Amino acid sequence: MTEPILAGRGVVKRYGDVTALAGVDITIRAGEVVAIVGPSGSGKSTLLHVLAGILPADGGEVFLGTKPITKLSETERSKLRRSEFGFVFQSGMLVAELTAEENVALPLLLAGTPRNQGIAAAREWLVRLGLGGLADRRPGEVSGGQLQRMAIARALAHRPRVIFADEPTGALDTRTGEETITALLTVARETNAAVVIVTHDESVARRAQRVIEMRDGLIAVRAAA
Amino acid sequence: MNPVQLAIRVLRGDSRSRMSALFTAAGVAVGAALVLWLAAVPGALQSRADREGWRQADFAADKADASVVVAQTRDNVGAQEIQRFDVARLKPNVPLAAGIPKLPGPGEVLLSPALAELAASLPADQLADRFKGRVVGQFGPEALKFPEELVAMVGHDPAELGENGAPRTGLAAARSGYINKLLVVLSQIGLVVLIAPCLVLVASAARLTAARRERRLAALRLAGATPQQVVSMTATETAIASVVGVVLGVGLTFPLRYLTARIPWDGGTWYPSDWTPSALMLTLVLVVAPALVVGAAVLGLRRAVSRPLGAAQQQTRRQPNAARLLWLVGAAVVFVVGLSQARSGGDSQMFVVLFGLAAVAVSLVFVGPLVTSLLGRMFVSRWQSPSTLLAGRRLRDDPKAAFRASAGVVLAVFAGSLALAMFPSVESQIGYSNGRFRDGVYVAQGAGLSEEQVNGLRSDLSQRGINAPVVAIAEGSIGTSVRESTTAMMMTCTDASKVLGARFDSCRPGPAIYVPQAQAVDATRLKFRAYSVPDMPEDGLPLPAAVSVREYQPTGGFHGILVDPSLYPGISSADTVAVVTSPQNQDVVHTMLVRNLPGVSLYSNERYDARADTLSGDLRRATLIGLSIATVLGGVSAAVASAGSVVDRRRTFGALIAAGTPVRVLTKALRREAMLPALVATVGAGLAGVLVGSGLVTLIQGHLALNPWILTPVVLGVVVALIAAVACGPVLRKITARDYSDE
Repeated sequence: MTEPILAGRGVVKRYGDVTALAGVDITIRAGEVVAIVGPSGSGKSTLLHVLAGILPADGGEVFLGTKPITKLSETERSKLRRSEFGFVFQSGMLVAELTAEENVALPLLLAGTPRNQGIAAAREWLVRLGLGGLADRRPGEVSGGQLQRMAIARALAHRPRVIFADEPTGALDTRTGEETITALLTVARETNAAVVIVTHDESVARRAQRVIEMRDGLIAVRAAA
Repeated sequence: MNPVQLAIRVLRGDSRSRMSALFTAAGVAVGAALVLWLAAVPGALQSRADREGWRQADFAADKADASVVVAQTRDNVGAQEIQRFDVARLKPNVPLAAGIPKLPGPGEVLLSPALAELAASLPADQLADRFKGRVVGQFGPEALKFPEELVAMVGHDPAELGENGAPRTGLAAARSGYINKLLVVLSQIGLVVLIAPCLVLVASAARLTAARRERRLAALRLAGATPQQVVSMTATETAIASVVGVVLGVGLTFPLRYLTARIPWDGGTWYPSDWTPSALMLTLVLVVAPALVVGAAVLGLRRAVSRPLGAAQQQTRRQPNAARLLWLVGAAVVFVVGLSQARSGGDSQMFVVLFGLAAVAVSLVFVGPLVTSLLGRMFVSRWQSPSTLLAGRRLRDDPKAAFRASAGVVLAVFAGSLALAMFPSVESQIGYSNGRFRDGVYVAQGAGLSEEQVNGLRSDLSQRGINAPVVAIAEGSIGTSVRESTTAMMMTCTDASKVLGARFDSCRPGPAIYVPQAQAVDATRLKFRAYSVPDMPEDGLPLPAAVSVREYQPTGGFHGILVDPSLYPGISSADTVAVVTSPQNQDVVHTMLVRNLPGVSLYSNERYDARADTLSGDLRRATLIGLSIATVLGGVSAAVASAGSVVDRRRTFGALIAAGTPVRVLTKALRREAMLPALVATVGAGLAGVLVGSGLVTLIQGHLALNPWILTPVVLGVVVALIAAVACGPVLRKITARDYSDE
């Protein structure tokens, strides 16, 4: 079994009087695909946000490898998200004004990659995801499935160790959703990136190696798919 | 649920829509208050002019028709001007304007409240003694230009006024007071160029968070709402905000009147009632402002109505095309045609000029997105950093939205450049003293001053121990004919060297004329005509044969010919008396002059310059106020539009921040996005302002005088745009990584 790449130990998160995470323990290994499911308000999105460093935990600790990240400053966590993690959001959440290749190149450019190299790498990723002919298109000019594949290309362009996907198929029809998940898992496997997917979609969850069900801020069920 | 109910529900339930409505209401309130304030300017000037209408009316063509003789002069105490009316009743019933309680008889005086108070507070020989007689009443506000105006009406016997008064049928108010044409033109120009940024502010407020609204409405359209329902919903949402705003704006106008009334103009402040907007203007603003806002919001919905899918998916917007330049060309043509017509056709053509001016201002807003798009294209092809890429793409992709933040600044820069281009020319038309008389010399000019009056003055001064030289001067002309003549003054060269702006090195007693150095004259052909001698031949009296011609050195503004009195022993009356004063005796000499020579107009370089300084100060103040308003409007519009554009892209920014994009990269992108078009557009607007200003100065017979200050509006515009861009920072910092999942 591979080493844990990301782990949460006794993670607690509160919003005022409401406890969203009540001491969650979770371990993600390199190349592993984990689906987090559960009813609305169960804490699955909050868990993803805390693991990704978007939200600081109020208790417990999150480790990236052996490095604790909870106490890092927002700037340090932002740097971590930029370099170690990739994100795929519902509806893509790409920058509407940028072309596909510019959107995909953005994480590389933010990391200091020169323009030509960044754009070249982005084009490669677009070709890899079957979007070679859409490099100059804007997010508003492509279909929902193509949009999500663009988002996957953007999430993977800088070769992150973990990809967080928040309802990546939520806005897609079943078939397009399946195609999108296939694309995500395929390229993740090729780069050995771990994938953490928050989803309501059982067919998506079935594609994960492990399914974690959240209830009332706690992990209720851990199951191998 | 009908669209109106839906709109109200949205406003109740959605805090951001509510905030947007509040911003819209605030923008409309500020815009409406400013429009009403600006529109009140001509009315305020007219109210002042109407109250002093009695001073300029009822002149009688024939003395037989006259009921009163009035000598109107300007006096002063310190830097304050006194309007003085020496009056003599000719008939029992003299029509009087409201605010004049009675016509003072001989030995009676009417004072304005401020003058009465001032006279009581100063030693009598510095002020009160100027008004010979008993104070029998005070002017009411209806007869005063402004509350603290210093006005005196001194009653005389008709014989006492002599030739110094004008026969009038009465002192009743004119139907409409006269306003200086220059002021009218300047206020109209100010009105047009400042209303444009007001409208931009209102439009910016109306379009605040437009993208968010567009997405919501597009979703409704996709869900089956009809275009009419979508339009009704938007109209209701913006109508609620704009009606609240316009009512607030109209309400603001009333306290604003008291503030505005404190701004000095032409030597004094105002009555707050001067600034009350007319009922017509109030009605217009109450109706038109909400209509404009609702219209702007509904027009902005075209995409959500016609292509809801495109709006919902935020598809690329239609790019502005080069045809927009035609607007600018068309506006420029209208303006130039208007100018040429106004120059030849008079005031009635001014409307075309003002229309052209407004059209140029509006066309700048039309051309702005085109320039923004071109700029975006340039940056998209040359970007090296993510922030430049983000900014460039935004400018290229949605130039209309990107330019919205700069529109107010552009118009402010246009207004500022126009004002500063005109300012030197307008200011140069203010007359300063020409140095004809020396500094410190008080000059009383009137028609035929008797020797008795002059001796009375000398005696009064002597009684007070004042040893000030009193020089009686007969002014006139000298030349070969009436047409070919120059100014002449009859006095001795010894007296002239005391009072005139010239050096008489060749001064010797005896009959002679003194001409400016190096000026050749043929004394045998010259004839002198004294203005104070009524029965003198039209061409004047020839100089005695073999008159001595001597030269003097002009050192000030006197370039005429000095005639020694011994050349014309028969001319004894003078029309001008000059008194050499010292700072210590100046006020007393002034009082004695006014007291002894009723109806004469008093001049000194200092008084004249003080009056010019007042006018210049008014002009500077008006320009400064106009520029400040334009700057604030531009800045607020830019801040509102920039902040709105961040709120509109809240989810995208949230996602970028979640993915690790440093906020400083986004801040930098936003600053570039706001600054780049502002930088280019303000330079263009500055240039347009200077060009339009150079055209407008021709209406007042001026010419363009460029100086480095002309760059101020452009620099100010860029600074304001930068501040507005920086204002995005706090809004952006409120966006968190979790906002991507919002809505």
